[in-house]
Amino acid sequence: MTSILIVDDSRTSRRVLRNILEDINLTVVGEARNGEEGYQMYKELMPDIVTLDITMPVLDGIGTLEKIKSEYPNAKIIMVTAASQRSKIIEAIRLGATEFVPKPFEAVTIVNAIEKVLREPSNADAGEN
Amino acid sequence: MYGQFLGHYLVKNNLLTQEQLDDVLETKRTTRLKLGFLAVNEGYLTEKEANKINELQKKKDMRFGDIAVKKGYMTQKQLSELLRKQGLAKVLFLQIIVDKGLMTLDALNAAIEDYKKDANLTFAQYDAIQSGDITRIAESFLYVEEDDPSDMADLNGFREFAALFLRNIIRFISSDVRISRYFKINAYETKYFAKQYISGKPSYSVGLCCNDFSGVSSFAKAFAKDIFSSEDEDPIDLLDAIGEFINCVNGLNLVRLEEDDNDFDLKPQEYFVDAKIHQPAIYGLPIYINNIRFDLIVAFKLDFIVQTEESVQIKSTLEFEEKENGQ
Repeated sequence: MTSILIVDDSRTSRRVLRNILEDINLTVVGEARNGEEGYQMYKELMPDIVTLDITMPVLDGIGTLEKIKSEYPNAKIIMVTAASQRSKIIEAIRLGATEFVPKPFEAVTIVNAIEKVLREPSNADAGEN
Repeated sequence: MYGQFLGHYLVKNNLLTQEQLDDVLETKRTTRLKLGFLAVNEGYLTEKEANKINELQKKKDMRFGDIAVKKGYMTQKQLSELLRKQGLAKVLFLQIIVDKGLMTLDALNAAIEDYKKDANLTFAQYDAIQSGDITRIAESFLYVEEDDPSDMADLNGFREFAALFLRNIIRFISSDVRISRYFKINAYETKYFAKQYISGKPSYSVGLCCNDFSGVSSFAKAFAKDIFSSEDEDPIDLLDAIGEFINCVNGLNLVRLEEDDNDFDLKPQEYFVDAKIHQPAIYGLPIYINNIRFDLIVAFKLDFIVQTEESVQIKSTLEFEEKENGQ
C-alpha cells in the first residue's frame, strides 16, 4: 500500500489532506510541521510519497525538497502551494519537483498528482544511477 | 447583498425582527438564481462548459461571466442580459418581505429613502449595493475623494485586495455579508487574530480580527467543514483554519500581482489571542458575516507589530503544537 508523509505547518491543511488520502485508502505514515521535521521523518520512515507545503517556518518546502532530493534523488515529492508563488514553483521544478497541488485542496487534483508521481520512473529504472 | 445591507437597517430600526430578516434571506437564498444556472437554462452555455468555468474559478480569481466571455462561450451582450436577470435579486428581496406580510411596499420604499439618508450613502454606494456586485460595493465603500494623495496608492491596493477577500468570503464562507466604512489607524486591539506577511514589491500584511468566539468558530468550520465536528472549539485550531483561508486568498492575489513580473514570498501564517497590533498605517474594513463583525486589516511595506499580554504568549502554530505535545 502506498505510504505518504505530509509536511505542512498548518494543522488544518494536514487534517484535510489526511482525510482525502485515507478516503482513497492510502496510508499516511507521518505528519511533520516544518521542513526540518519533515526531512528527519523522511529519513526515518522512507515513505513512497511526500507532500511538501512551500510556505513553512524553520525550513520551507523548497529547502526541504533540496535536502531530500540531494540525498534521495528518487524521492517522489508533491509540492503544495497557494495558487501562485511563481518563483518558488520555478525553483521547485529546477530541484526536481514534478507535481504541484494548489490550496484549498480538491480530492481529484490530489488523486491525479499521486497517480502521476507513482508513474514516474526512478533514476534507477531509467538507468541513470 | 442588497438584503443584508437594507435588512440590517430595517432590524436596527425595529421595522423587522432579526428572525423575520433571517427568514426572508433564507427564502431569497433558496430562490436566487446562479449565473451558471441561468446561462445553461438560456442555452448560452452547455453544462460541461459551466462546470469547466467553475473549475477555472478555483485557480484564478475571475467572475463566472467574465471567464465565459473570455473563453468565447458567450458574448458580452448575453452576459449583460443574464446579469440584468440576476440583478432582480433586489426586487425579489422586497417582494418576499411584502408577500410575507411583514411590511407594505409603501412602508418599504419610505424605509429605503431613510436608509440612504441615515447611512449617508452616495449614489455610487447605493447603486453598487443594488447591483449586488461585491467588487463594486468594495470599491464604492473604499473610495474617498478628499484622501491625502500620498495615501492613494495604498488605498487602491487595499480596495483591490478587499474586493478579492470579500469575493472569497462569499465563495467559501457565507453569502450573508455586508460591509461598512473603512478606517485607517495606527493601533488596534483584538481578541482573536490571524495574519500573514507577504514580502515582495509591494510587501504587505493581511490580518483578520474578531472579538466574538462564535464568529471565529463558524468561519473556520465553514472553510474547513470536513475536519471540524460541532464540538471542536480549540481556538488555535479554528484560527489555523482562518489563517489557511488568508493564505489561499493571498495566493490568488499574487496571481494578479505577478502578472506585472513581480516576485513574492508568502510567509507562514501566525495566530494570536488578545493581540495589540501596531503599524503607522493600518487600513481596516469591517465585514459582517452572518451579522458578526470581523475586521480585515492590511498594512503595506511592513509586517504588523503584534504584542500580547505577558500571561498570553504569542501563539504561533508551532509554539502551540509544541505545547500540546509537551515539548
